[in-house]
Amino acid sequence: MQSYISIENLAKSYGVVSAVKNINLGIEKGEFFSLLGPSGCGKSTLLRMIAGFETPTSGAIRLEGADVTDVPAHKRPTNMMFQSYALFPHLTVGRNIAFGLQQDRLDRSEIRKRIDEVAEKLQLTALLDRKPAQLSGGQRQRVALARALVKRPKVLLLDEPLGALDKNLRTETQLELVRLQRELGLTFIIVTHDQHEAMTVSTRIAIMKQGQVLQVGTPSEVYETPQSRYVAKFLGETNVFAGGKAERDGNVLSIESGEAGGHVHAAFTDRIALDAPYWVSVRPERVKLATAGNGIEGIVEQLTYTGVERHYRVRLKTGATLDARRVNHGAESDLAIGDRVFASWPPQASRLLAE
Amino acid sequence: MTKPSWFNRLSILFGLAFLYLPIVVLVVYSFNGSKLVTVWGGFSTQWYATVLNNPSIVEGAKVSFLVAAVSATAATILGTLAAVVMVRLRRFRGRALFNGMLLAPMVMPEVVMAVSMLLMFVTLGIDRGPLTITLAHTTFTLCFATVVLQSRLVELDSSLEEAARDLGCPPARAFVSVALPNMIPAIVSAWLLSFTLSLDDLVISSFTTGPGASTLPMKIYSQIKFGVTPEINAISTIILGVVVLGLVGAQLVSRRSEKAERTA
Amino acid sequence: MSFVTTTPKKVNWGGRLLIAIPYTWLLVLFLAPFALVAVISLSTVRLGMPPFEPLTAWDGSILSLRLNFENFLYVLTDDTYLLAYLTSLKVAAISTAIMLLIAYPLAYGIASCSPSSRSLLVFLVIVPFWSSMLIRVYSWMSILRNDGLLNALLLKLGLIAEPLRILNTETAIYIGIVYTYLPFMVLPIYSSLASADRTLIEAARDLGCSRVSAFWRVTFPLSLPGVAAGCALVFIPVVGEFVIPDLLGGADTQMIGRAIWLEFFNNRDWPMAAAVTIVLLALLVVPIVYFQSRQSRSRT
Repeated sequence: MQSYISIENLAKSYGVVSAVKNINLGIEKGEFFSLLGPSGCGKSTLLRMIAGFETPTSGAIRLEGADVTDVPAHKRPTNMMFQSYALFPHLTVGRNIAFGLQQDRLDRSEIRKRIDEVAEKLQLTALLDRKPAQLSGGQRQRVALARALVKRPKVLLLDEPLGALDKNLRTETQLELVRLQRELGLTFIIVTHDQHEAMTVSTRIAIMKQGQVLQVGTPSEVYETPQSRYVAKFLGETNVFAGGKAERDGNVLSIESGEAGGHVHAAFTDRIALDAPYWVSVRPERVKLATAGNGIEGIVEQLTYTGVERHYRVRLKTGATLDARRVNHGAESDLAIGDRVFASWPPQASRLLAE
Repeated sequence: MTKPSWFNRLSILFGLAFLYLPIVVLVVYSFNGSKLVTVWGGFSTQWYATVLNNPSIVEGAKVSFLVAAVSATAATILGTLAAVVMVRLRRFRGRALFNGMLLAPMVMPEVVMAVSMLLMFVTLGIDRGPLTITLAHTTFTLCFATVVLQSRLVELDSSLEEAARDLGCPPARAFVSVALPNMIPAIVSAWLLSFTLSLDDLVISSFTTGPGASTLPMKIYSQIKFGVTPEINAISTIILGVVVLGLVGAQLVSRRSEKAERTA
Repeated sequence: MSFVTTTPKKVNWGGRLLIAIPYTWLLVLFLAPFALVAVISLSTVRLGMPPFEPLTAWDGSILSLRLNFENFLYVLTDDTYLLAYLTSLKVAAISTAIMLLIAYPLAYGIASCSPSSRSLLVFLVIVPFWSSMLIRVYSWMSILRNDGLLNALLLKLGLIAEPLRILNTETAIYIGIVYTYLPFMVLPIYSSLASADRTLIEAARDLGCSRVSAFWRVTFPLSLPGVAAGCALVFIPVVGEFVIPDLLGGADTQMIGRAIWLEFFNNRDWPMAAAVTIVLLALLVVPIVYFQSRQSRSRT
């Protein structure tokens, strides 16, 4: 069964520079899908191709089965919320929102009805007669959203929409967007470089690097089971050690790690070939530090207090570093800089990576 | 560079004085009752009367204004198209040549352009007269208009037009309803600039004109060759007045439209 | 709108028309004419209209091509013409230098003012440019004549005993050119000074530069693109300038613009005028190309 939005072998190059290389993606109806990656990874180019502002060099884009690759932007059933909002400065808020409906040649009463509807939903009713220059950043953003939503597009594309907002407003708005999306039952595709944002709003995330999609999955899938060191390091933080000889004992692998200076344990899996180079990744929040016991030995080198957590950086005997994190439960830290510690974690917390 | 030093103030003063002195002299002496520059014969507007009653001068002025208005309009339209092509379209074959042709007239000596365009008209068999002057003026003012329009278009956020297209506008309509309104001051500037350059042109007009069609600068030039007369001061002051009024008017209009946008 | 460069699936007629209109205009009325000038410079003068012989002749079976290089040979060997070219280049170079000395302090002064004063001052600099060039040159005639304003003033002040002969000399040409083209030099320099990053000057001062030293080591080098643009914008047109040398200069200064005018209107020798023009273009092609390449680098 074909996906709602289907991207097939899509590529885009400008002269010799290749911005997007052979992407295949299927996005389902009702998803809040994120394209996540650093700047220059091609995510904006991909979004613009879906919107119709760039023509692919090769490949196809299908919407509900129909090939829209050659359909110009103004005829596509997609709408975009621009990073700079792109509100028409010479039109009032009301006229901005009405703009797209006027292109559809709806009659006046219908236009009026829809504007009032969306204005109420986004709390813009009092601002309809103002001009964009008189609005705050958050208000402008809602107008940009209203203008796109009022056309009831099949897909709403959001290009780094929250970058200009300050932190508190951003979090609020992220939750607002999720609520709206579920209420309206629309499909959203968002481009962002902020992994917290992607994790907060998405049903699924596609992580991109240098024009290619590295991994696609739900937030917990990509976080808990990354398939490469790049993905593991891009989302949150992680410790990575090269893995060596492994011995199996029931369901647990005991892996010799020269880098870590000891044995680490991982759950047995046959998905990784252990005779080829591989790595072990463990997230700092799963690492437990104790003053005695079995574990990787090291000395606490740095201690950072962020309010919510305490971050420990441990210098191991081999010279490598290990990061650990503990949620702040209100008590003072029982570890200090210079203390000798032993680090350990449950085997399920280890993730084996082939690349 | 927070406050201008005495050296800076002096430079500005000296520079501006140098620029305006001859103009002031001209205006003052256009009201001089005596023919001689060295003698002040009392305040008089007789030269203005002479000028305005001179059919040759008036005819020349009519031709000049007509040619200037038409060529300025054509140059502004072509310049807008050229600016859109250069700024919005990323790459196309022959872009470098197009760019070169757009910029070259700005530095080309007038005689060179005049000679070449005249030869083209002769070859094409077009009768020389006000039409050829207009074609020639459009061509040489085109580059100035394009520079003004291009600078403004580059400043405009292209995402506004993209938003319009995203909302259902075909590309041409998106440009006209979103970008053009924001370009009005630049369009007015481009038009005025082309108008003034055309009005003032002597060399290109002389080469590309035909029998019976003389522009105002051509008439003034032939009078100057006969000898300096006070009527020329009067004509000059009139033209100066018209231009200054036009400039000030344009500035006021653009200031007012900016204000209106901000406070509505 | 973007053009697909590798796999065009659909022809974008709207875009092509958009490019075609100004492109065709410029090809026909700007570029092609230059080719014509080159062609006609190889022709021979004759009476009648057009006043030059066609280059090809067809007698029913033979197509003959007649290229007359006489004009070029004459232009390139005749002393008067060579002197005219050299004079034009010399006058243009000296005027550009003088103009730079006046324009730079003026531009610097304006750039050092507050933003609101700046726009007023720039406006004031531009206004003379918008008024008729012919008229402004003419006004200098009134001032520089033997019985003109300047001499009258100097005589009255007792600084000179006899009127100075300035009009119809090379000096008058310099005054006229500097006066007329000044805004073309001021604006590019002002533009690059105004857009300079102030924090760079602060950094220089912080590292120990005096105000003067900071100017020469930081501000001035950063303003050089504006200076180069201004010089190109002035030098090239001045080489071919006609009106100023004609009205303010005398018989002792022959410039090439005037030579072309005379060939055309007085001698009615179009092929010769065309040849003179081609040689002039050849002289200027290097500065013109240089100007073009700078502009396209800074523009897109």
